[in-house]
Amino acid sequence: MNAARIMFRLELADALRSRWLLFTAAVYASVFSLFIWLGLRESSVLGFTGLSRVVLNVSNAVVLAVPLVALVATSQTVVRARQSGFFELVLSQPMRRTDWFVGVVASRFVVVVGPLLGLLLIALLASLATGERDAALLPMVLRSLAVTASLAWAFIGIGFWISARARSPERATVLALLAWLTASALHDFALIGALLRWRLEPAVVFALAAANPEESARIAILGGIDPDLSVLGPVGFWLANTLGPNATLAIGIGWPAVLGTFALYRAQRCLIKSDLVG
Amino acid sequence: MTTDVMIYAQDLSKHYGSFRALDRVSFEVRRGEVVGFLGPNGAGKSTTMRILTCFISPTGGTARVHGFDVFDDPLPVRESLGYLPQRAPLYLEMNVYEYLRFAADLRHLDGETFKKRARSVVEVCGLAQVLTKDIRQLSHGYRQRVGLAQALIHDPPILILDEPTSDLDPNEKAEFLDYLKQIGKERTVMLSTHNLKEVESACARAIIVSRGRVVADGPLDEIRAKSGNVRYVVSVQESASGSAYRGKTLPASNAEVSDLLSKVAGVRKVTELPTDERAHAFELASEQDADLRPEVFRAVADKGWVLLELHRDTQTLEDVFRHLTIGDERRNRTIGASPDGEEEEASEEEEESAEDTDSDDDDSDEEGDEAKS
Repeated sequence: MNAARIMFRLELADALRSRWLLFTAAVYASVFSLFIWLGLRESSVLGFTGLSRVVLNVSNAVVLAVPLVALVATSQTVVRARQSGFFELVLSQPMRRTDWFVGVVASRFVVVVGPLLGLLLIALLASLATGERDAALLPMVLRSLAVTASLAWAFIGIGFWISARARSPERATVLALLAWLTASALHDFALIGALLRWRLEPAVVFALAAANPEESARIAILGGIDPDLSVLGPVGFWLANTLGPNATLAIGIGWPAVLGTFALYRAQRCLIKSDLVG
Repeated sequence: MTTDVMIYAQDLSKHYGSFRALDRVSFEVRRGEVVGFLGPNGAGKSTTMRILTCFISPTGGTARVHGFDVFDDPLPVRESLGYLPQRAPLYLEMNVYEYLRFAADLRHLDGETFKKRARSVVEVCGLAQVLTKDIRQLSHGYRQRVGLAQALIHDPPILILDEPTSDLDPNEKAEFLDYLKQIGKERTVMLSTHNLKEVESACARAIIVSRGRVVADGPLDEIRAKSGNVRYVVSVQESASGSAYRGKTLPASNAEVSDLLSKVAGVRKVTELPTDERAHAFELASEQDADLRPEVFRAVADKGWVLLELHRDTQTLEDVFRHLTIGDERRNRTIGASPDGEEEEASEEEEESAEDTDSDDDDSDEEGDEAKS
């Protein structure tokens, strides 16, 4: 069996045993349950009802949760493995560092995205079982899944990059929190505040919003349903209306994917460029 | 390099900035040897081990394990060795059997071979009672045994152990050394430690490193004699206590015996020893590696004196170790000491932190230098 697959299997089994998967599933399930409990399923304020409405709101909330879960799951991986001596032990086995890296990245991706996939599949099955005719549900599920998976990829990449560069797990945690706070702050409210405070050019504000994978994911999910939604905020509103649903979706999936791939590449370069043997 | 050389290091160097963790270290370990790799903290033991196990690359020199270059052919090197680092970090949520299975998968062992090998390592490492227990539940000693079992699971011809007993209690240490002796019968073992008793009990040969250099390498007896202070104890019967040999007369005074002994080639110093017996007792100091006992015997026998006692008092390994590595300890106790003019003091931890420093393209050097300083 290929070493990357063995590492993937091992890390996944370890995540299962240490209840990491359970934790992420609980986070997403709590959000889902909360929205159902709040009565969003029956609400028609935004022009559509049913599970698709819940899925939309869950996705909107998950866009905030996924980066945090991904950063927590990844930001200490390399630095902790290095400090605990685990790296030393694992890399004395006949495997390349890249195999280890690929296996661990893949397992973290499954840990972060797997529970969401499961939850959305349950929503689809529940819709079928109850005989609810909700035409918007499947496209909504697919759209949400694609966007959140891409967002998770971006923050897994950022988390690994932090992890590969940090000199201590504590520093990695602080950097991960900073990354999450920065991404969360670069939503409408902070951007508009910055626009007013420093009289920034609107183009700069919009570029910053679009460059924030969290915001681009949010716009991709919400803008695809209705670009006039007030929850998009002024910056999101402008972007969604200017770019259109297809472009926002393409950016919402493509940009985090590119960012995540770049960050993972940098993280892997950190491993390869250090004086470890390949 | 002959074919039975399993570990070969030639001018191995590792620099972290201006600090030389290893400075042209050369040695060979042959098939079936159990070698103790000794040195004080920060001497370069772990760095050498990490280079030999393909974890870090050397700054200079060559290292081959089982005939493969550690830098050019790391995979065959890793395949041929079992490694137990100082702290054996394991997957704590796994049980022992699952962990061994994982190690076997990485070593490409098929199911049947794994079962056979697992039976063997469980027996050798004494893991039968804990096989289905989570590693989290095990004591340090048992975790160390699990670490050793993973190192042995693929039946490697070479075993590298980095301070494997540092976290063990005396009973566990004794058991571990028993395992080591058992294992060492069939393998090349390199045991890094600063516990000299372990080396004396498990190894026939030792390599001592100090400040990144090899300061002694050879069989333990040879190393014990290396300190330049070989001591002999000679005792000759007094004239009043008996008759001489071959009709000659026994020595009348200490001075007579002392005079004779000081003329033996290789003797540096003769010191009288107090004794309760009716004898002239002396201690001879020699700087020579050669054994002086035959010459001393001949000199005494030619005089027809009766030799009551003659033995060579080889120093303990600990004496030699202290003698060879005392400079390290002195430096550790002197603030700002830099005897080489270039080298800076660095503990094992500092060494590790330097190794842990990431390099990442352009900005890596700055960060690396920071950690190294």
